[in-house]
Amino acid sequence: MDVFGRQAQEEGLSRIETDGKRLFVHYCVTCHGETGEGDGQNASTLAPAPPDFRASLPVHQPAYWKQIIEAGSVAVGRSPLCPPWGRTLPSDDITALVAYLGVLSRPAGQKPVEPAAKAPASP
Amino acid sequence: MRTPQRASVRFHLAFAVLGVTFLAIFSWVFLKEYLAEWRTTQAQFDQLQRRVKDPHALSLAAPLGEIQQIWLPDLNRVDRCPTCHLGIDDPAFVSAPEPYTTHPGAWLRTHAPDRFGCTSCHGGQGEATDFRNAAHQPIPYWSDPMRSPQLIEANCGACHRERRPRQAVWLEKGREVIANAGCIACHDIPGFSLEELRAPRLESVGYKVRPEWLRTWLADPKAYLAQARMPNFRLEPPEIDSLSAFLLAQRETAPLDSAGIDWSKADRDRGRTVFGEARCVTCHRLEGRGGTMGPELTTVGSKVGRAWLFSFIKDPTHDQPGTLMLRYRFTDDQIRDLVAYLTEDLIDPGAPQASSEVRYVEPALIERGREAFVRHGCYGCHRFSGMVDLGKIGPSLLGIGDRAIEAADFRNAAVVPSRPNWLFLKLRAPDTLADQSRMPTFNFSEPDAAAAVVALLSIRRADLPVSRVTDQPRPVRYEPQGTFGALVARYRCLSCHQTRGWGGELSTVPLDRIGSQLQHAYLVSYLQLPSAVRVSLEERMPWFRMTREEARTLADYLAGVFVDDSLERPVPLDADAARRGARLYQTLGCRGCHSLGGTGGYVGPDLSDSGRRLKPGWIEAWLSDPGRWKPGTLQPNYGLKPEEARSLTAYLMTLSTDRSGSTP
Repeated sequence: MDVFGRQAQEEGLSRIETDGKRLFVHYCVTCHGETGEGDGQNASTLAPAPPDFRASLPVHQPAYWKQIIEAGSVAVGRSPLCPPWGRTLPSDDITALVAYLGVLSRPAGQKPVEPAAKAPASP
Repeated sequence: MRTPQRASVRFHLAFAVLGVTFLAIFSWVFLKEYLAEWRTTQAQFDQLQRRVKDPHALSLAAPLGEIQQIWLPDLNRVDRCPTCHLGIDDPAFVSAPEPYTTHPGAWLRTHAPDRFGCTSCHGGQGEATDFRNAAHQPIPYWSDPMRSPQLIEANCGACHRERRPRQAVWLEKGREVIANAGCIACHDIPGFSLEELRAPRLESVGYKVRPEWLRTWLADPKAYLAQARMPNFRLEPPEIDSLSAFLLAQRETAPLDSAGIDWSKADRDRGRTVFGEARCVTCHRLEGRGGTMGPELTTVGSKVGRAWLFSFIKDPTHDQPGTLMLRYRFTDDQIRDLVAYLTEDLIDPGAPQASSEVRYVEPALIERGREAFVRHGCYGCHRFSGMVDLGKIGPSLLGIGDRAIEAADFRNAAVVPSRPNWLFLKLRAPDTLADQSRMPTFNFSEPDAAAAVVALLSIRRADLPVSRVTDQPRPVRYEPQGTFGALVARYRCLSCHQTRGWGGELSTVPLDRIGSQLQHAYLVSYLQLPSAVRVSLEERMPWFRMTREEARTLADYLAGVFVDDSLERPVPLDADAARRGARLYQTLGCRGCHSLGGTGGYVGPDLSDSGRRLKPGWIEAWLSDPGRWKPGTLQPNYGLKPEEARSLTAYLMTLSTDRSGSTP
C-alpha cells in the first residue's frame, strides 16, 4: 500500500488547475462560491447576483472567460461588479484561472484527465 | 619432442577461444550501443518532427544521433534527460506524446534547463539513458527516485527556503504544519531555528490547573481540546500519576492577591457582557467559533482555578512573561464578573469531579514525575527555569530528505517501503513504526501529514551553493521602548500586527505606514473603542478600555514615526472632482465589494466614514496601485488615470457618518 500517494491523489487536478484553484479560492470565492455556484459570502449583496458557473460557463468559450477575468464583466456588456484583474495578476495566473474554470464547467463526476497519471503515482 | 608440439596445440586452442570470446564481447557491446533504447526513441522523434515541423524549422533543429547532456558542476549533476525528452523546450510539441512533449506551464522560463538541469527539480538518475535506470518509476529502496507530482515540491524547497515559497502550495502548507506543531522543540530543523514556541511556562502550574483536569489532559490533550497543540505522549497511568504530582507541586510564583474580592457579588451575566465587549473571541474559540491564537475557552471552567484566572486576566505577564495575551484595563469588579462567567458557565458537565480528600504525596512520586518530564522532553516546549541546556531530545532533521530507508523501519506496516511513506507513517502514527519511539502522536490529518512530508523531504543533507538558494530576510526583533513601548507591550499590539516584518499575522494591516493612512483623530477614537471597518471579519481588534491619554500617546507616535513621506501629499479636493468621483464609484462597480451607508458588498472595508478615517494622499496612492502596498490584495488595479484617482479620492473624502459636523 502506498499511504502517501493515496491521500495526495484525491482531487485529480493537474498542476495548472491546482494553481488556478488556489487563485480562485483567494480572489473569487468570496462572490462566486467554492464551487462557482454563485453562492459566495458576498453574493447576497450583489445585484445582479453572480451566475451559476455550471450553467453559465459552458455557454461560452474559454477566451470569453479570459476576457471577463482580464477586463471585468463590464467589458462584455454586463454589470461592473466583477472587477478587471488584468493589471493585477500576471498572465500565467490568468491562464491558470481559466484552466480551473474549465474544471468547474465540467458536469460533476466527469473528472479531468490527469496528465500526471502518466507519471508514477508515488515512489 | 612430443611435449612442445602438444603445448603448441594447446596454445593455438586457447588463442582461438580467446579470439572468439573477444569477438563476442565486442559484438555485444557494439550491438548494445547500436540498439540502445535512446536511439530508437530518437528515431521515432525524427519521424515526429518531420510531421510537426516545416522544412525550414527542420533544418534548424538540433542534430540527432548523439547523447544530449546538461552538466552542472556546482550541483554535481549530469542530466542526459534531453537525449529522449527532445521536444521539452519547443512549443511545437505541446500535444506530442511522452517523452517528446513540451514541458507544461511556464517553469522552463524561470528555470532554464541549461542552468538548472532536470533532476534538480524532478529527481531521478540523470546519467541514465534508458527509462528504467533513470528511475522514472518507483523502485523499492531506491535512494533518489523521480519525484511524483505530489512530491515534486520537495525539490522546489531544496533551493527555495522561504517560509512561503510562491506556487508551491504543498511545501508552504507543510512548512506551516511543521512550524505550528512545534517540531523544533525536539528537533533541530534547518530553516526553523527562529520559530518561537508558544507553550505555557509551568513553574507555577500548581496554582493554575485543577488536578482532575490535568490527568485528563496528560492522558490525551485532544480529548479536552480538539485544537490542542500538545501531542499525545501515550503515557501509562503510573506516569500520569507521577507527572501530575510533579506538576502540581510547581508553585514558584503565587497568583496576584484576590483575597479582597467578594465573590458573592459576582454576576455571570455581566461577565458574559464583558467577554463579548472585549472581543475575547478574536483569539479564543468558544463553542466552535473564534480565533485560535489563544486556547479555546468552551470548558475553561473545568480546567483552571478561580484565583489563578483572576490573577491572569489582571496581569497575564505575572505568570507568563512571554504571553501573547494583552492586559486589559478592566476594573477588579469586571474581572470578578468575567472570571465568574468563565469558571461557572464554561464548564464541561462530563468532566471528572474534584475529590475533596487531601492525599499525602510522596516526594519519591514527585521525583519520578520530574524524571518522566525530562524523559519525554517536556522541557522542549515548556521552558522550565530548572531545566536549561538539556538539549533537544530528538535527532536533528538535517538531511532527513536523504535518510536511507530499510525494511526494518516499517516493522509490520504493509506499505511500499519508500521514504515518503516512512515519513508519512512516522508523522501519523509513530508507535506503529517502532516499539520504543519517543515521538508523541500528533494526530495530524492526512493532508497535513502529506504536506509536512513534502516539506521534510526538502531538507537535504548536502547543502547547495549559496548562489542557488533563495530565502527571505530574517525579521529583526522590534521592541519599542519608552512610553510608547510600554503601551505596545501592555496591549500586545505585536501579537497581531506586523511592523518591519516583525510581529503576528492576525491583522492584515501592517503598521509600517499607518500614520500616513489614517487620520490622527480617527486613530485616537478607534484605539479607545475599535469599531469594525471590515464587517465580514471575525477577528476584530479587542476593546482594550485604554484611556484617552494612552490612545493619544499611541496615535501621536504612530502619526509621527509610522509614516511614509511619499503618501503625505496634498490632493485637491474640489466639489467638481468629488462629483466625477461619485460617478466613477458607480461605473467602476465599487459597491460590489464596499459598503456605503449600509448597502453594498462586504469584501472590502466599509467606506461610509472615509472622510474622517483616511488620509487623501493614501487613498490616491492606494487606488493607483493597490498591489504595490499590499501584495495579494483583493482590491484590483483598475488602471485609473491620475485624474480619476484624484476624483475618487475627492469623493471618498466627502463621506462621513458624522451628522453633527464636529470631530471627535
